[in-house]
Amino acid sequence: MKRRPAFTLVELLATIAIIALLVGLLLPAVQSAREAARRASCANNIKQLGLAVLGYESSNGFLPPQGAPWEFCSRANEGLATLDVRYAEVSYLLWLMPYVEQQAIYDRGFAQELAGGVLWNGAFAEQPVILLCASEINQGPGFRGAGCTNYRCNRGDVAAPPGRRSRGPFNEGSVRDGSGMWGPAPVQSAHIRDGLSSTVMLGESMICTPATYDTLPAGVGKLGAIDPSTAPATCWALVAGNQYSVPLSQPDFLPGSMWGRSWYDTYTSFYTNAAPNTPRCVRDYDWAAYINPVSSYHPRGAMVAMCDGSVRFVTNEIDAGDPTQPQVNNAGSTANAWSYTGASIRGVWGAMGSIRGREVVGAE
Amino acid sequence: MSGRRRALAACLLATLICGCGRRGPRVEMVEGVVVLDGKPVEAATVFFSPVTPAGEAAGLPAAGRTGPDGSFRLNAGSGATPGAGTAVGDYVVTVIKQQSRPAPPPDLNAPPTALPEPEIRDLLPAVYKLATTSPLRATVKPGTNTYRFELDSKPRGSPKGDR
Repeated sequence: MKRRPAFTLVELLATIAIIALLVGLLLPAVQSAREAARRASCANNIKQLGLAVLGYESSNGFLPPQGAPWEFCSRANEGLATLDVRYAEVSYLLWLMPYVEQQAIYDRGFAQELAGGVLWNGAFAEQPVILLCASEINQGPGFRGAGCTNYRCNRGDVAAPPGRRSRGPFNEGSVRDGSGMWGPAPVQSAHIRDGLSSTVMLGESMICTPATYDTLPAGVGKLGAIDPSTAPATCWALVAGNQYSVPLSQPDFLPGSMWGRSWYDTYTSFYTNAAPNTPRCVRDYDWAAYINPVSSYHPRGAMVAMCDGSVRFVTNEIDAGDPTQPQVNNAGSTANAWSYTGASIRGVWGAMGSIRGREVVGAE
Repeated sequence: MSGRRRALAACLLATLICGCGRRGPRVEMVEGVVVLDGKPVEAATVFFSPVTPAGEAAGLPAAGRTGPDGSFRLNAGSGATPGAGTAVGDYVVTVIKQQSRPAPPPDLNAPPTALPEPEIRDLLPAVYKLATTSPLRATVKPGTNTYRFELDSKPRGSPKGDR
């Protein structure tokens, strides 16, 4: 009997092993090419939003207000009656909708508010695609079904309570003219004395979910006693000890349940007091997220849009000062730390975050 | 015949696996206890802020939080493993423990003025709070470092009033 020529089992296994080895070598390269493509798409989104802010600024003379009360918003829409003041406040993103070809969402949002609708339904359940980064893992739905956002505005290198002037280009609770309202006026580009190209306007942030907040690379810790002076490294200490806690009486308001999970709302800002992709900290529920850095799923850093409309990638290793130092006021005390007016103590990153710290930011 | 080849394959595999190791700054384990007048302090944050003498390598800023027995493990950020300690160097140590009135539950229909900032109160003497006034020092060496920080509720030579 004559045997047909054939592969032996050993030869077959060797072939499979070689193919597996080649795939193993190739796969990481393919994965990083995929991530590079996602990052490019993400950079385009933040660029468009940065240009939208500049478009709004040239039409109105000031940057879009962040966290303006709805009453102000209804007055701003000329000819509309004054509404009851609600605590709910409006993200800077709502004002940008006409500038990113989403006029319909803008109009429906105001109509819904005037009709006394529930804020997190209707227009705000829409998910503008430009607000999501392709690298994001948690793509919604967000808080009570609202749309999510990965792009937030910069409130400076020193945390500021709502209604206080921030050191960044966006003030929490800002209104147009300050008459009869509670917040500081929005920033004009002439106020940005450190230079438009060296001041951060927008940045990326991961979307939190209550289910995943403690597994994110930049986890959210809950800190009972947090104020604008709290040193950013306080958050690392919470994360290291795994000391997260969850207020079960309010399951809707788990730490991290709001940030990024309602694009129309006021949970759409960040501070440059801590380096990118370091842990975030909130007080009870989601209030007072005074340590709230930019973050992303891109390796090694996050993207920011500068006030001149350019986009930069900021690495995690950027000089952000000594994170174990608390913020102090001009007199050297930790009381009312938000009132600090000197040069940033948070290194190059803090200098990029402030609009008039008068720091020298080197050309990179 | 296949013994040598198998050894070669094993070497290749080992090289590949070693190449995938986690990179980060080199840190030494730092743990310790914080006591105030001899009693362990719970839920305090311990900060190690690097002191850099001219011409020496800088340490890594790090922080830790104390448990019920006053013990803590230091955590340096910048890609280091959480809880694994910090880099070799000289440090000023500060300890902060604060308490706030609980924040009110959120009320979406309340006017904006109804959201007060809680009062923050220091539960440890103020000298330990800032690097400029803290008398605590630590030197981190290779290996496991263990410290005991004894705080005094009436520190000697502490500045009176605000300064």
